[in-house]
Amino acid sequence: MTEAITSAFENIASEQPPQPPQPGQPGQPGQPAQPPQTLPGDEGRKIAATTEAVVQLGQTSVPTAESNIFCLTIIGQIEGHLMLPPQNKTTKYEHVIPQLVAAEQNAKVEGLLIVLNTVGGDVEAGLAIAEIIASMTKPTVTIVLGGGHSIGVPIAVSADYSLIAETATMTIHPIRMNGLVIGVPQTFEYLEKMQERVTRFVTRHSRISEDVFKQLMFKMGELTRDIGTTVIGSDAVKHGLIDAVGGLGDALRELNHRIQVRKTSAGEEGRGE
Amino acid sequence: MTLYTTMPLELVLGGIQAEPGPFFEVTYQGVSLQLQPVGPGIGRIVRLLYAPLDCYLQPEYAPGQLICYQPSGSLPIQTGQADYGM
Repeated sequence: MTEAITSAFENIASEQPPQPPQPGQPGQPGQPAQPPQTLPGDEGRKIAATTEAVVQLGQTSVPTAESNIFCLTIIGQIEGHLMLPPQNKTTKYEHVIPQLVAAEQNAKVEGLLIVLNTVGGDVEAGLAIAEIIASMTKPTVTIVLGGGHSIGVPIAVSADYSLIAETATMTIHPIRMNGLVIGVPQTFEYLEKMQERVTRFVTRHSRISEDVFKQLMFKMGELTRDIGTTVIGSDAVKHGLIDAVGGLGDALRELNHRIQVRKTSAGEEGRGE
Repeated sequence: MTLYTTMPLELVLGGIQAEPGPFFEVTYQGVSLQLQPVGPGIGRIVRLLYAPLDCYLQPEYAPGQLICYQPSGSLPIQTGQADYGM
């Protein structure tokens, strides 16, 4: 066992890149000029970094192939202003928002694939993520796998094109007040305003009408602990919430198509000027 | 703060009274990080407090990653390259 680990380390260590050739230095006289057998600078640095990570931390990341698509995963609870206890798997909005800004301005990123499997979370954080996705200029495609519940619904509809897996579900239900609730009529008005923010966003960014959305939201006898509806795969498409039923292949095909269309139109604009 | 979720709130908020942390802050290669101590010189990233924008695209800087922040000969993580792990 120990020998296996030692040999693994030796293998990694042996992958250290050789020194890159100095430009402008010819081969030794009398020897034929050898073509450079070294790795490119970037590659070499990455291998060195991997070796260092293994030595220091005992971990390494899987080497990634170059891609023009940035994949963002929205999983578990969407964590907002409150740090949730550690049993929750969370998507931290203070990291996701700068990630989206970086993806929008990075020239290497041409499109975004947003994969959702979320149970909801903070209203403010969820709507912030949804708004920022909706306002991006690069092509965006969302795919709901497993579930895109509650505040996951506005995020799912925020992209240019949305897909849902056949077995995936989306729960549409009313917003609840948490913490101390003061029993005055103004509380209900406030709650309605909060609800209205979600409803307006969803109806603006999908084909679902406000009436149908509210009908699904206030339906009784469907959920065990709440009022509302769980829509599964094709039902979400039927109601106009999501564009199509599909999987990863469909999502990537659509995204690549949109990237091509954007490139073509940018080229035409460039020629027109 | 309004939580809009299908998970029962008693599950989501269970143990909320427990103090999170301890956390500490380090500045490492121009990136200001909030870390949770794991071992001497090693911390788990809680969040980036201040970072160049391209760091957010690098998986090494994602919350939950271990980071060796003690200055050693060469550094495990590359910065200054806008290649988000490519």
